[in-house]
Amino acid sequence: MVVVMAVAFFMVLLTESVIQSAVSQGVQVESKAMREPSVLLGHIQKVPTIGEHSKRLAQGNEDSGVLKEAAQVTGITIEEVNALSLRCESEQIYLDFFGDMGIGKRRILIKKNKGAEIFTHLYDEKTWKSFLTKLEPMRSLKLPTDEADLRSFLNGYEKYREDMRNFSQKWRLKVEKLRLISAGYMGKVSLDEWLISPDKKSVAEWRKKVTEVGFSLTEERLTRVQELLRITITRDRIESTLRSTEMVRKYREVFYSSAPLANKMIQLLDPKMKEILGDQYSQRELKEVVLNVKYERKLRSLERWVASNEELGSGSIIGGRKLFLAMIAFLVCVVGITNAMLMSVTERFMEIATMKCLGATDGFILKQFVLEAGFQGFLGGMLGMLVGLLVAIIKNLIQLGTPVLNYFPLSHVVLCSLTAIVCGVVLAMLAAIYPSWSASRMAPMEAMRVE
Amino acid sequence: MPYDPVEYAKGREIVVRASGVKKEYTRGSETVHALRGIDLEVYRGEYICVMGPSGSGKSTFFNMVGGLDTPSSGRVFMDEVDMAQLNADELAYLRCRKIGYVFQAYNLNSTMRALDNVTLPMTFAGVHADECRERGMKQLDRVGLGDRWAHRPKQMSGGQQQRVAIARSLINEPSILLCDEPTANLDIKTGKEIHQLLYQLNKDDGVTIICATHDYDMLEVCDRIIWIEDGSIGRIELSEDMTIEKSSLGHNH
Repeated sequence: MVVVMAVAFFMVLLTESVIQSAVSQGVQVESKAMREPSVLLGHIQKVPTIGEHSKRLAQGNEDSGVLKEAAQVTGITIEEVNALSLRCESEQIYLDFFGDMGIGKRRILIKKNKGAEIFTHLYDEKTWKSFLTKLEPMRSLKLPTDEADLRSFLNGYEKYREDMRNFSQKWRLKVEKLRLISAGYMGKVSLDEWLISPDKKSVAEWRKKVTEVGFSLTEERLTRVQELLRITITRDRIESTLRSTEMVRKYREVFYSSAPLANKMIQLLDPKMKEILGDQYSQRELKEVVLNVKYERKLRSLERWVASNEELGSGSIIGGRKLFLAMIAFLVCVVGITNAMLMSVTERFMEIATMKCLGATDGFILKQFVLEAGFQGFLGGMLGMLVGLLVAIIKNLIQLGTPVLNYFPLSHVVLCSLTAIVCGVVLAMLAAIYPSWSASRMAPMEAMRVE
Repeated sequence: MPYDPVEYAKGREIVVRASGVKKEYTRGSETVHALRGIDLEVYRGEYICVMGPSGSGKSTFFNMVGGLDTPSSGRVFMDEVDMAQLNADELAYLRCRKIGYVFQAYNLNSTMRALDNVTLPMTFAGVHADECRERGMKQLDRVGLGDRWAHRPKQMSGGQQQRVAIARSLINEPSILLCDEPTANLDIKTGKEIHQLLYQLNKDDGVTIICATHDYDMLEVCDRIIWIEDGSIGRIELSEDMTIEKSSLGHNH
């Protein structure tokens, strides 16, 4: 049936997009979780530049706790931080605008081409005027906001810079303070190593102090960070062991290979590898590290895939090209159904004419045929939906592997299935209107004719 | 006693009246006169046979009476209603409730059970399903197929199928039953059974029947015979006058 094919095709496209976007979201969340320890600890240990502050504040919203933390650390009221965050957002937008336009155009527009300098440069009335006159003929360039907004941003820029400097200064003081506190606790050991030390009591105490300073470091977060740190550190240790010349010589002898280190890491559980490493590490540690390496590799490849797939970023469920394909499928579907129904009408002229002889009205025949097509569309839609779902899942499984199942977007897929079935029914009914109409106009005399 | 229309009409109620019915249609460049003016009255409770060679206009006349075709000129009244004045839906209403059709090829729906086939016209009339079932079973009993209600047309013989078709045509208690060569597809024995059934329906239940046929056995059971020749009525005879002629015809047949 034509409906089956069209719906199946539509379903493949839809489901695939849904699965892919779900996977990409999941990947983003997971890689964020992977980076968490370094982000968190770096955040506490290092003094960010003003630019980094600005980026972080621009991304912060009311839920994420970034702004709250900023207010706590710097001692500025939350309202002020909110205002600052809005400014940062506009700054990022304009920075992106100037950053994306290409060196040539930027040179023409403002002569200079360095990040935040643009704003102080543009503040000057004369440069601003010439900027506007030069911008006008460049039709491909469009300001992200209107001119007045940019102008008011520029007017407030000095004040904003001042505020940011202030903010950064206060933040730096707190980080310095924290450094002193931390140093008192851990002596010569690095923070990473100290955090996973068995001295849980002093770590908890340290956490409390960190919170007192203003940084948000909840207990669960710390536990998660510790967990990840433990694996990373074990992994680093094993890695450096494997890198030592003695080991390299040893595993060359055993494996006759010079495969990348990561491949060696995956083979850690191999009995031959155990021979090389001896009893330095417990089986559990090795297992954990292997899993970690595998996981990270998969995540990296998925990240690359997400980065290479532009359509995922656009946010729409079904992209332009796919939409076009789906439309063509539907067009073929409508023509096919109309044809099939016309055939069926000519085949069944005897039945139709008999029914008319027995007193069926034109409307009744019309309804009967449209409904019949609707049911066929429903069945075809169901079948097509199943086929499409299977094809989409299999295709994605081949392409992306098991993460498809981990992030399987069930509710979205169900929604897609319903859409596909409804589409099938509606299309079938639409396509059946003309044949049904021609059936209803058939003369009842035909029934008297003998084949 | 020869046929006398005036005498015959006395005390009878008219069901169908055709007056000056003509039908012409063009085939290519020439005009074909299918009917050249037919005047006929059919009375309630009558059993009429329409005889005539192929191409005589028999079927065309039949379609006029059945409300399937409209005459080029002249009028056909069904229960004193001019059928030419009705629109498509009104004609459908008429076909549903006033006219019962029996076709040469039975025209049963092969996917439906006998009972569903019988009750189909009731569905068009908008009768409730329970009542359909009850009356459908009664009709099937009437044609002697009460025990075969669940059979599909393919599981039944030609004679049985035609019985189902007759039950279907009678389900809405029509004023008139139109049979278009009902026995043409049957062997002589089952054909006779159908004749017998139609005869009984006519005599016992007073169903008005118009029957187009080539089957001379039919002449035995009917009241009047109308001979159509070349688009007009050749002669009308009463069945009892036919006896001698029929037996000679029977030998030829």
